[in-house]
Amino acid sequence: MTATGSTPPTMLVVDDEPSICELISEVAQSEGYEVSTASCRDDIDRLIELQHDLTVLDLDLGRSGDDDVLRTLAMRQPNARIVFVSGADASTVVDAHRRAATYGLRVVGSCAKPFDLRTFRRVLSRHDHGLPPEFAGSGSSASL
Amino acid sequence: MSLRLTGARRDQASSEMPPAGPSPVLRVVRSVVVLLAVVAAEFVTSWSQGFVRADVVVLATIVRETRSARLRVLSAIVALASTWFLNGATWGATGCVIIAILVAYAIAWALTPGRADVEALPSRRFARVCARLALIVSVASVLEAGVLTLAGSTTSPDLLALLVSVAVPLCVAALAAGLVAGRVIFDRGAAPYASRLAGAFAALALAGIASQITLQYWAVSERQSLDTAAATVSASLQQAVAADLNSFAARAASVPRTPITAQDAFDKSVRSFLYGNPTISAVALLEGQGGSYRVLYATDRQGSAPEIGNVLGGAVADAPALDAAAATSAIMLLGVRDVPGADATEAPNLVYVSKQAVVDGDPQRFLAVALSIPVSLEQATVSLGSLRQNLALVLTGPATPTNPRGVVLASVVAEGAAPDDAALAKAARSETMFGDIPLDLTVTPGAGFGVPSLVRGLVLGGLLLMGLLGAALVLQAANSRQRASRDRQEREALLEAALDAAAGLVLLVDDDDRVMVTNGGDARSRGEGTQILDALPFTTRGRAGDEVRELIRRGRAGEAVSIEHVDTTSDADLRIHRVSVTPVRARGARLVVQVEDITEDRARSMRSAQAERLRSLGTMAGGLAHDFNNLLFIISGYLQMLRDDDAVAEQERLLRYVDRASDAAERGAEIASSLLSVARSQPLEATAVEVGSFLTRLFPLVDQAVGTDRGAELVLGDGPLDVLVDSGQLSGSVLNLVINARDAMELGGTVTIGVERRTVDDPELDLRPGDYVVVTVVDDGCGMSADTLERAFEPYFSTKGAGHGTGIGLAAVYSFAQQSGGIATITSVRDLGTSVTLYLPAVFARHDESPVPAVDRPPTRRVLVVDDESSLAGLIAGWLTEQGAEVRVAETPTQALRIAQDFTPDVLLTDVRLGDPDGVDGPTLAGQVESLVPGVAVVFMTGFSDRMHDLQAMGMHTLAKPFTKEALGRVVFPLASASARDDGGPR
Repeated sequence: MTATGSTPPTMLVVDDEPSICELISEVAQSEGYEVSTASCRDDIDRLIELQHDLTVLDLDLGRSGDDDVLRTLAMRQPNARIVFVSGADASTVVDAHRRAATYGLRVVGSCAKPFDLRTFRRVLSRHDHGLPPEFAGSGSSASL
Repeated sequence: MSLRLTGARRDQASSEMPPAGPSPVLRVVRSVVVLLAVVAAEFVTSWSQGFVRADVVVLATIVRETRSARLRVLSAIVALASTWFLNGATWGATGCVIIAILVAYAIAWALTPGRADVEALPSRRFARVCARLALIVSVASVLEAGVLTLAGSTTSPDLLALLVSVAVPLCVAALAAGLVAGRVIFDRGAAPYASRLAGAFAALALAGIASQITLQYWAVSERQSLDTAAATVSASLQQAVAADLNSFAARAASVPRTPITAQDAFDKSVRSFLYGNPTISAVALLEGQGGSYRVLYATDRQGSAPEIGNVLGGAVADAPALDAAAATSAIMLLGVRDVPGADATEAPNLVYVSKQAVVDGDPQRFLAVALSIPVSLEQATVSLGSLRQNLALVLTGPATPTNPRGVVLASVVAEGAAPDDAALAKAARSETMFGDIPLDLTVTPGAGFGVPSLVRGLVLGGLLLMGLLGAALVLQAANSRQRASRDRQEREALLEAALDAAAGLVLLVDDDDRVMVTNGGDARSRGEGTQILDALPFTTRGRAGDEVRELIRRGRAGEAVSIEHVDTTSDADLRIHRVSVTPVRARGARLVVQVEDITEDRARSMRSAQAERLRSLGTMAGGLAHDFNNLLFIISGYLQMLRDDDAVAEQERLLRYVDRASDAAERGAEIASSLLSVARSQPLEATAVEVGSFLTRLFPLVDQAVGTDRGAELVLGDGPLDVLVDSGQLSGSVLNLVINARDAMELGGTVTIGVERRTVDDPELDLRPGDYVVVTVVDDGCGMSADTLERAFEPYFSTKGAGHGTGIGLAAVYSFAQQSGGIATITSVRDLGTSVTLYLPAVFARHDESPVPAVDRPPTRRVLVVDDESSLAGLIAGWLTEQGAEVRVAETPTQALRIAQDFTPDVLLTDVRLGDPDGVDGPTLAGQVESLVPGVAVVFMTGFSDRMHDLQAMGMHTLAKPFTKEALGRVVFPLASASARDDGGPR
């Protein structure tokens, strides 16, 4: 998946905070993504059925919330790439990584809220350049 | 005779043998008196034919009252000798004396008090009662004998004989029972057997005694019947003879109406006389005087029988009697003559003669008559009635030289009653005088005499059966009593065990407020029977006891109440007791008072509440941090958007505003991050860590953190010290504790870190029982107050002034211990110091494997970590240490420079913003360190608002916070190696 193609890459941002959805979508749009956001249950259920190149998933949807999304993604889009964002402690992210691995989903990065927008941009560009995750920056790492 | 048979011990009671001993003369006199008493007693016994056992009384007294064995033996010998002297040296007499001696010993033994446990036995009491009974009977016999002697009676009445003959066997039997019981007790020490045996034995003995009484009664009544029969028959015989003689006298006194001149005439005249008196077997008429007599006529019941006349007084020998009859005109007995009867056999007859009245002038004539003894006896026995059927009556004449036992004159023997020797021994005799001839009547019992055999068998069998039944019942009763007592003992033991197992002190109190029963050894030894207030485990004197007194008063009023009593008088720790009072009504008990020390319960529930509070605080912190982070992200995100916006970028003032706001947002993020460190969650980077070696490697860091003014010590215990934890968090926690300790020791002191493996099974700790590696950090600093201690683990609770410490440190330590499956505890004494203990679950790790992947493992390199957040510095230090680096940490730039000078680090890992009041930030510090340590590699740790890109653009290495252990290793170690290579090693 590259940003150089004729059709822009698509992104789904799932976060229960609309402001965050908007913020992330603005950053992503500036990076050339076509972004859909979902901050309520109905939107999530509707949009998750559509194909997206990248899904940015807030892990604070509530216990069943993010797990439902992961499961649905695994069923509908087994090749989906995921970026986790989370305001909770690191163990939540580790746990999400584990679950995603169980479902066969590919996690390309994760950002702990609040994060530097440039960090997020790097994750996106790394994804764009098809680099393996966590080796994007020289000597720096966006990480758990 | 001294009868001092009270219960006092012999050796103390004996006045005859005081310890000092009387003078020899007195002793001899006393011995003589004693022996004389024995002789007298034997005389009385012998005189009463053994019925009055005076010897038993005297011997028992001697045995019991003297300790002199010689005197006892002498008494026995004297008793035997006296008996032999009085009754001859027969086996029977010897046996009697020996029995008397044995009984005397038994009495003395039974009346001498023994051990208390033996005294309590039923058989012992039984023996004692029997001994007293025997004594009373014997004394009564002696008194009775004295009274009878004074009254002049020389024979014992039958009643006394009966009494004594019953009482003596009774006592012997009872004493034997007591002896058997005592023997069993002393031999086996088994009281139940003894009491059972004694009871059964007594029952059988009583049956035997009853049988003997019955037999005695029968014997006496038989004897009386025989005596009566003999007397009756004798009297009847005499009456019959007397009646015949009356009739004979009348006949002789009347002059015959017609002169008797011929045999025929005589026959005719005496016929009616003969037939009117059936006992008369013959009559004869004699004539003569002065010694010359001749028989004129003679007639027997068959008619004239002249030859009989010679038998009836025809002999010359009769002449004197006839002369006497002539002189006195009285009836004279000529003697006993055999007169031929109707069947020609001769039968003994009493022959009497009397002067016959005649017409004046006629020659002197005599009338002789023969009275048949057998017929008379036969008639006399009619008066016996049916008794006659079972008796043999024998009438014997006086003894003659040829026949010393006397000639049997007549006998009436019932069928099957032929007397044998045994029957003759029981026979009753009665003597009857006819003239001067004594005739002996012997009445002998026949087989059917007395109580019929069937009745005897039934009665005796019944008695025996009753005895056996009684014995069986006694055995059964003893059995059931024993079982009941065993059941009771078991039940009591169970109740006692239950009481002992009951929590706290249980006291059963009676009406007088005294403790009846209590549990537990200490309380028991403190004493049942003490006042309830004294038995309580806390002071109840004065006002301190008012509460308890009121409680007991309410309990007495029937209320079941309980209070919690705080013992404020004790010097030691404050103790809290729950005192419950329950009114009861059983066997004099009034109240059950239960006292339980609930101090520990209280402390435990407080600890538990504290743990719960910390848990909920952790949960709350997590939730708060999450929401906070979301908001901060929105704020900081849009601030960055603003910053990147061209319109803003052009205006430096606006840019400054945005930067300020970003800084504030980052500070907020740091707070949120610290909140997350206390949030309760799963361990993140758990690896097997050998705490001993880990802390050894970390120790220089600790030493440095403590500072030069204070000492640090690491004490490693034995055993494997492996745990599965996040090494960074472990080192962070330890450093945190060490820094706290350092801060508590302003005036110097020592921090001791102890590590040991310990098996924990303490219900007071909220831990699963098992093996734990226990890390203890102890200081001898200022300590904490109780209030501080209680809240020490709470997040944001800090006693350090504003700007010093976040209040997260101990909370993070607690959180780390909990996340690792363990617990953290803290104890502190004001002015003495504080001790924090981490319990981490021990694991068994394979030590052949390196804890760090070999590929990533660099040679030991030196890293200086600088961060104003000490717990973060500790975390990083831990991770690096685990991966083999030698680490120092610094919180301030000044400290960092000082350390760098000595430590010459390969890598400087510093935060960009150091919160330094002098405005020294990471890059500035890096420059200073580089000037001190040329060639040092620098890595900046950055938050989101720092100009990471600017730093990267300057060719600096950056590490975005937060980062993982792996990320840290990947960034730091290649640099450390490169740095070392470049400089050829920093050392």
